[in-house]
Amino acid sequence: MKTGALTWLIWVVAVAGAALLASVVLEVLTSGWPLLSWHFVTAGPRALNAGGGVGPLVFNTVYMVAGGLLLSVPLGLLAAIHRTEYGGGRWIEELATLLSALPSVVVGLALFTLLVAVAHWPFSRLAGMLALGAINLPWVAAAGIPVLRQVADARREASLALGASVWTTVWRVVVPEALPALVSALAVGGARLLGEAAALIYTAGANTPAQFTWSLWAPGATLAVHLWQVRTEGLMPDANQVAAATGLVLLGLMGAVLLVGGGLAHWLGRRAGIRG
Amino acid sequence: MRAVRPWAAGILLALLALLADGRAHAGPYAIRVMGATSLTALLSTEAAHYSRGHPGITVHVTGGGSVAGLYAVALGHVDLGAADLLPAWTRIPAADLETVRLGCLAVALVVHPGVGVDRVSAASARRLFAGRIASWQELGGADANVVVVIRAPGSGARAVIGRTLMAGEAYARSAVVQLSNGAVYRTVATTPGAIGFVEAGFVRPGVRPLGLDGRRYLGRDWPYQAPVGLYWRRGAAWPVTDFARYAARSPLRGRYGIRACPGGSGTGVVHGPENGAGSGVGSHGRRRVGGDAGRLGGLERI
Amino acid sequence: MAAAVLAAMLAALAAWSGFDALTLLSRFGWTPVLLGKTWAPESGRFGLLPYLWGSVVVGVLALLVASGLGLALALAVGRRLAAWARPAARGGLTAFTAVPSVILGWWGLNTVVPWIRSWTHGPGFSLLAAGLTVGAMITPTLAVLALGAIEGVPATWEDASDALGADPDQTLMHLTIPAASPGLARAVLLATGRALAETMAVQMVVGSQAVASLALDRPGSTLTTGILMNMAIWPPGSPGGDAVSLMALLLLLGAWWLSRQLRQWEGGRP
Repeated sequence: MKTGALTWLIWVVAVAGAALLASVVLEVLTSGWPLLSWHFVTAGPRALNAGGGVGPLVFNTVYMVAGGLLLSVPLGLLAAIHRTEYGGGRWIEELATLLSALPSVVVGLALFTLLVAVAHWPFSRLAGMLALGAINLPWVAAAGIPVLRQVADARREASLALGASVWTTVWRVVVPEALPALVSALAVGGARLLGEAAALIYTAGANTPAQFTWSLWAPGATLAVHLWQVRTEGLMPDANQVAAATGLVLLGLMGAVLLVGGGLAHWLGRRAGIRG
Repeated sequence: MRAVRPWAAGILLALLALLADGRAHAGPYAIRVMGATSLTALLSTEAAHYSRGHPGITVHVTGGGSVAGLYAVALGHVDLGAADLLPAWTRIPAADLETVRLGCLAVALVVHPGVGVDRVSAASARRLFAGRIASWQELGGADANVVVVIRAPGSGARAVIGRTLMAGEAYARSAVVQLSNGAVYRTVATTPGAIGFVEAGFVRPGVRPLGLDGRRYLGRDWPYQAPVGLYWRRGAAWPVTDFARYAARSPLRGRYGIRACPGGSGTGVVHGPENGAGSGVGSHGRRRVGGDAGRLGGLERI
Repeated sequence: MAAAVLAAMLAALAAWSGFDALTLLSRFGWTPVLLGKTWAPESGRFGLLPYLWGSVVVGVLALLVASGLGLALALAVGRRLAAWARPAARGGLTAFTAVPSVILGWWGLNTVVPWIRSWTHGPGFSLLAAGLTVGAMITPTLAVLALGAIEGVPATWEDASDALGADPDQTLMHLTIPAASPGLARAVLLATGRALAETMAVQMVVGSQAVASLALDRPGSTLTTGILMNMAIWPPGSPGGDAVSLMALLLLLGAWWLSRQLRQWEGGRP
């Protein structure tokens, strides 16, 4: 079978594309890898000298994304459930799609205006958590709706026919069956939040607390914000490398979240006897 | 659904409480300071010292730039604005602002080490920043294209250079705009052919300062000085003005490049054309601010 | 009730930015603001054209790059790659969609800007750099979505085409791609939306200069970077702050238009 010209063209361009994408990651990898070490992941950042680390930033990132998820996932799921199980209007879905298409910087602007400018909050972790929650909420709703829909109506009808209320049906039939796919979707959402920066610069700030604290009011720079700041205005001599290494730590965290989420989803699926 | 309502209501109430509580959490008395990024490090350090000496008073410091700080204090969002430009140079309604001067920050002209030029005349510097010189060869330097790096409009350094060196002429249209001194420094250090301006303290290894008609940026005769001051609204509470004067006398100023303003024309800033005639508020403010015969330290009426 | 929270968010956002926008527009005039070429808030000029222009240019450039690369990737993986390699390739592409924009920005600063600087006489920081960087960023997204569309074309249709004597390229050209075109269009639309919403990667390479110029190899700005660069300088209540709200409103309208388009196309699908 002769390979046609179109196929050649497709392959050439596709390989070029794959090479481009690979080179992005490779560059970051080669630049940042030498700096990765236990010290880098635990020590504090240094403003002027080489040898700083991202420890407080890792903590901030995990802390704030966890908070953002906590704020957005329950509400988002409830909104999705309302739409699929309670006959909520189509406007819910449209609204969720619209809001999740909004640039995150707009969310950052809104929260900066409300919290920092008007309510005089300092740049803080709590403000960042609210920003992350606001970004994730529509996404969870928009992603949850098709997942919930996948559950076969027959199972819902069976449950209702047995006398269960809609509420019971939702929590004992629909959600458990949708759980694997939901967990995957939530993991993707969480990974997205980990990489967020635009909405956080003017809500959570660009520095970390001087001493370790759990306080919600402490400044909340995250890995992504740190990467941006170090790459564009870092004064230390190895700024490019520090930024790249920060990026690698960030990618590592995201990979961990996706792996754990995917693994959990798979395990849940097998446990429930459904394809994972 | 019934089970959800009290829990959701609880969250909303908690959020509302947090919103209302935004200021209270900070302590019995909180002073909010906002403004020039060249001052935040100094102010944060002095804030910590002051709080230790005055229990019950906490000071919050954030950046945002001189214009942001001045707007915020004029509109009542913060207690103190930190700026390295004068309100008269902006359209901010500053009629009720009072100030204490910290000194002057030299604004240095820096270039990428490879440009092959280490001193220029003021006229050439102006042509460089206006984008009228395409290559460093025209000034006897290397064969490299001139890349101009400047700051965003809210910056004191940009305002100072704009009023003095540029004499009101526009910066190059193809200039690269960065958000902070640090970002300008990084861009100039990593871009062959680049020229930019940074405040003293950001002239670090990796860029070279330009001499100007034989003068150096560390010298007493360097013409580009940003007037550094703290601003508050007339009638502000005592802790606010006390902290402002405390910071203004800080012995750390020298470390951040803030020094006494060169003598001669008061602040040492050569006044270019005033910008913003316009509205009644603007000119009213300007009347009170204008003729800026700055005296160091002490209280000044703006 | 939970859905009401979503509605409240949108309503609050729309109301506040709408109010600010109207304040600005009524004070300075619709045409000078929306079509004005000069953005100089310190002198009372609030022309948004540089930002609108920049967003359009970066969006178009990114789309050109991503469509070409993404479509090719989708076709290669979906219809030409050996079956055993497909799941891995699909997984790889999906993984790439998650790469954060600050990392793309890092790469853009490292590679794209110096490259552009080397063959133009400019700074390298430019709308072109932003377009290429964002294009690289949305390529995986577009590829994955397009792949879904292509894999959705029933194999039986393609078998029928083969049986009628068409060679693989003809089948691809005249059957698969047209059949997948609603899904492909949706992929392009979603990718465009993502490109227009991008902030960090753009801010790092675009030079943030508020000019509307045809010289794409010179610095520019987009609506998103305009908000980022200006939001802390001009507080709410000042004309500059109102202008920033207007930028946000324009982006909100863009997102609304996008989701409406998607909805219309969804409605037409079986």
